[in-house]
Amino acid sequence: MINEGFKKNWLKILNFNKNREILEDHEKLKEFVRIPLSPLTLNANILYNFFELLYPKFINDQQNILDIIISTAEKKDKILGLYLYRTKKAGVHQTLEPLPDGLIRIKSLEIEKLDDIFNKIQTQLLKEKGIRISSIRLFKKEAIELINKHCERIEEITIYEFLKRLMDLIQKLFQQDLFLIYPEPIIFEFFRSGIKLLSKIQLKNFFKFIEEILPEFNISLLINGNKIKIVILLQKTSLKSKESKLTIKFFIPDELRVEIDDSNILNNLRTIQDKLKTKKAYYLSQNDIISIISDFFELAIPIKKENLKFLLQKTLFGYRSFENHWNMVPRPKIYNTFLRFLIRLFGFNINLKKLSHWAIPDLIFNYLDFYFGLNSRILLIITDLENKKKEKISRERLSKNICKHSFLLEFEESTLTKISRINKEQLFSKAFDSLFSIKVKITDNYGPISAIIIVDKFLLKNILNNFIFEHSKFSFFPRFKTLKLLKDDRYLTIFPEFPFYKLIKRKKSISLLRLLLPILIDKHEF
Amino acid sequence: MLTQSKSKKTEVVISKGNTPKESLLKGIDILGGISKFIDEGDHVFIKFNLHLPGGFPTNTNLDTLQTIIISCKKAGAKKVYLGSFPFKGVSIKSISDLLCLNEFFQSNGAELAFLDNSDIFENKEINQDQLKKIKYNSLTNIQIKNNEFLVPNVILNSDKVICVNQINVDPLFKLNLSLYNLYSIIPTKYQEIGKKSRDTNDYISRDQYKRDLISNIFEIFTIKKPNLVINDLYYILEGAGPHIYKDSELKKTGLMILGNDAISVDVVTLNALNLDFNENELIQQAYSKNIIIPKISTIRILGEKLEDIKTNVKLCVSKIDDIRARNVSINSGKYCSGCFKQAYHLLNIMKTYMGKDLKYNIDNSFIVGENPPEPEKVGNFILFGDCAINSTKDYSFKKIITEQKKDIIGETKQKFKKELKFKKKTKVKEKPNKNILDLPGCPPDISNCLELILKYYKKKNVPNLNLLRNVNKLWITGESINKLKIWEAL
Repeated sequence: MINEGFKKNWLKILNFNKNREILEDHEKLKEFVRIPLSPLTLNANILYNFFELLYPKFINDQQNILDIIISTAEKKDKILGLYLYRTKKAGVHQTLEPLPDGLIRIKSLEIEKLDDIFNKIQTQLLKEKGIRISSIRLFKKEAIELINKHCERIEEITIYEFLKRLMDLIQKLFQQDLFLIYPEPIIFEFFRSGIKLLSKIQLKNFFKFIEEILPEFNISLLINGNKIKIVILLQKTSLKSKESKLTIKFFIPDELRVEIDDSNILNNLRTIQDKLKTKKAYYLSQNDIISIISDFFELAIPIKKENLKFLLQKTLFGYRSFENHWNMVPRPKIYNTFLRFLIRLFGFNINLKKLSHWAIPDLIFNYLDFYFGLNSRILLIITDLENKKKEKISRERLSKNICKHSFLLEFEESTLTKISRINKEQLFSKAFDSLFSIKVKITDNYGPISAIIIVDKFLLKNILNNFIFEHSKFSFFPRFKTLKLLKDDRYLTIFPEFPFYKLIKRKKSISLLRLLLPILIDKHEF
Repeated sequence: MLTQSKSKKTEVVISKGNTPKESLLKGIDILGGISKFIDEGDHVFIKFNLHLPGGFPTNTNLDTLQTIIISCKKAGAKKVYLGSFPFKGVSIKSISDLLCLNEFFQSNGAELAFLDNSDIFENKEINQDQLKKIKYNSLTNIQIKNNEFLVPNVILNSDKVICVNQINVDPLFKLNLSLYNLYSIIPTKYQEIGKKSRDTNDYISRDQYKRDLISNIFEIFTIKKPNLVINDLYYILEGAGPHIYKDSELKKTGLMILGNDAISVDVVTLNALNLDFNENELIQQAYSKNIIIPKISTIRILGEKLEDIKTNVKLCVSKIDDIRARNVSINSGKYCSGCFKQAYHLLNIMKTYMGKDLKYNIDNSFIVGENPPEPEKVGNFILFGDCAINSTKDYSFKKIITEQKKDIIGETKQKFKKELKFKKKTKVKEKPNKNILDLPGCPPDISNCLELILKYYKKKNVPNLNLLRNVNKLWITGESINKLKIWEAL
């Protein structure tokens, strides 16, 4: 019933997990498996650790799981398969035991509640097998069909293709309620409400867009966990066909012949950088990553402003904790005290370790609240001027040709409650239209809108490259270039122009920096 | 005198819907349809909340305004104007430009009335005489008792007036009721309470500021009573208001309360929000002016049942001391409502936009009112308002007392020589305290206060305030605002 390739790989994983428990020096086990549902091959030890760490954290932290496959096509839901996993450690799947289909009966998912089904199964299993389960995973037949489709030739596809397929699979599973877990993990609520919020927006298209705006990168990450250290290679390279290739590889330090010495992380990073031939090597703590991911999934969707503010504060705090929570080689020149002293002589205090993580979110949200209001509708248009740089964007003229994506974001009580995709036909009646006429058209269909934001892909690429991927580069010119792009109507237009945006447009980059830096960077050095 | 017919019960509708549009249309339907209020060929003036160039709910909900405009047009209204006088120092044109208001109204078949003539300020060739002529051609001087008010002709000449009032919490009257909303049909300068009786001793204890303000509100109300009043409480700004501050929150009730009598609509609104209307100073003073305030039992409530929809709102603080801003301790004496209102806004602006500035500048004493207690902390002293400045002249914090350094060597020598017959007195020096910032005015003007604060603390110590000033410069200064000042002074 399930895809053969998936099954074979899954059984291999179970077998490895079982054997690993027996062996003393399990780190030396050199077996390679694929991450289920993906083309990514990795050392089975790493996957074991992922399961041991992530499953209890995000899904269920108790032992023994029962998988149920049902068909809802008939009046009574028919059980097509029952599979029991006895797990010594929560999340680490070791044995798979098929149970007779007639062991339990489910009237219908529509009639019965999942907690009732769970209790019924628990009683039955205790009676028949003397085992207590902690959760049930319920797959509808259509879910298995979707998973099978997803797994077709999965070993051969590119990472991009895999990620797009995965997004599609997640969206369909949650939109149609094809996969359920009881007790329901928080992450499920996050996915379900997230997909509901996106309504008709395809996650795979969103991912495709991310692929387009991501700059080239070549980095390695050393993730320091409590039980295992993992090295990840991440590369994005451009191909001749204007397309790009994404590479993700997982290693344990032994495979790279690197011995990790916690007291000399920088040396280890340099070795990893050399061995994997990456531009940069980062050191991150596994606990910090888990903490931020966990905070993210615990966000109730629609996301309230206060929660978003808190997450932003936490992210900025993480970023400013260089050499404390994270590290990198080569050491960015921006952290060099002498250079910072020289820059300070010109009146710029740039100390990323003193980034004002507590003041920046307040600044952003207070101004946004005032000018856009606590309830607002914002039309976001993403343009692509790459081959049409001479196209002019103004209040009076916006070309239909250059508009690639448009979304209406609806905020209620400072919470993003709805994102809808808007067709070009809903915006334009001819090849060129004024921003005002677009505003009127949207107002007619969706009610008054507060602002239209038009942003070009080139600007987004620039921001990602200069402020995120090259965040530590000691060069002002690329950043000034990005600031200059922000002032250019072709790359960013906000209609109507609210005063804060006017300020960005009118001030010279240097004086804007002088005005903002004291707010962005904390005053006291110690 | 404001009276109402006793024979006929006033009707007020409480309507609830899934959207503001649905709620409003339902309410108008229950009231008998828009044709009951608007006739074919009518010139309609819609008075709405227009305070600052900010998003909802600083100003009235555009969804609600769009619905009412379309309804008026459907009923056959020939012209629909919308307008209000904004906050002091802000021109209607600058708000309209920043929010594209006029274009929005025009696309719906209505027009924004530039009551302050700011639409013609842009024309640089206009001189003071021409401006004066334009001003007095568009406004009429109306005398009520001893007061004179300039009222825009577009309101006076309109056949029907509709008041669409966004309900937000307000520091003076708990909520900004429709009566208070209608007060801004006169230019901002005339809304200010003059200094005429401020010299009397009981000005503060009687809260004459508020009395005069309420008196003016009722006088303005008699000039042109609205034919339809809509209190839009579909969303209510609570916590801090009526503008969006750090502590502001939006509460969704899904309700609209409407009727043809503003006082009745306000009474029902207060009741719906569990506020005793007898305690409301606007209503209290109406009693003393022999204005008949209908009891809730005498109002015919249609639509939703009042008992079913009652809800509580988080009101603004009622005392200045209750405003908690980082590193600011408040020392208040006796103050009038004028100072309370302005201090409330200033402290909320500081709290919202000056978070980092207040963290850096520790120990600030905000002194307000007459005869405030002596501040305990030593640091920066902000004297807010003329009362605080004048009544603290002899306070000890105004001077710094320094003792002259002891001559330790000399004293020791004397000890050895046993010459300690005459003990020298330590010299005490008095210097004026330079860490005092006076914010004069009765009550002080907020933008002026912000300028003085920036000057006192210096740009580098208040980066947030410096940014705010730069942002504000883009809409509250410039040629257009200078002309507004001239226009107001004419």
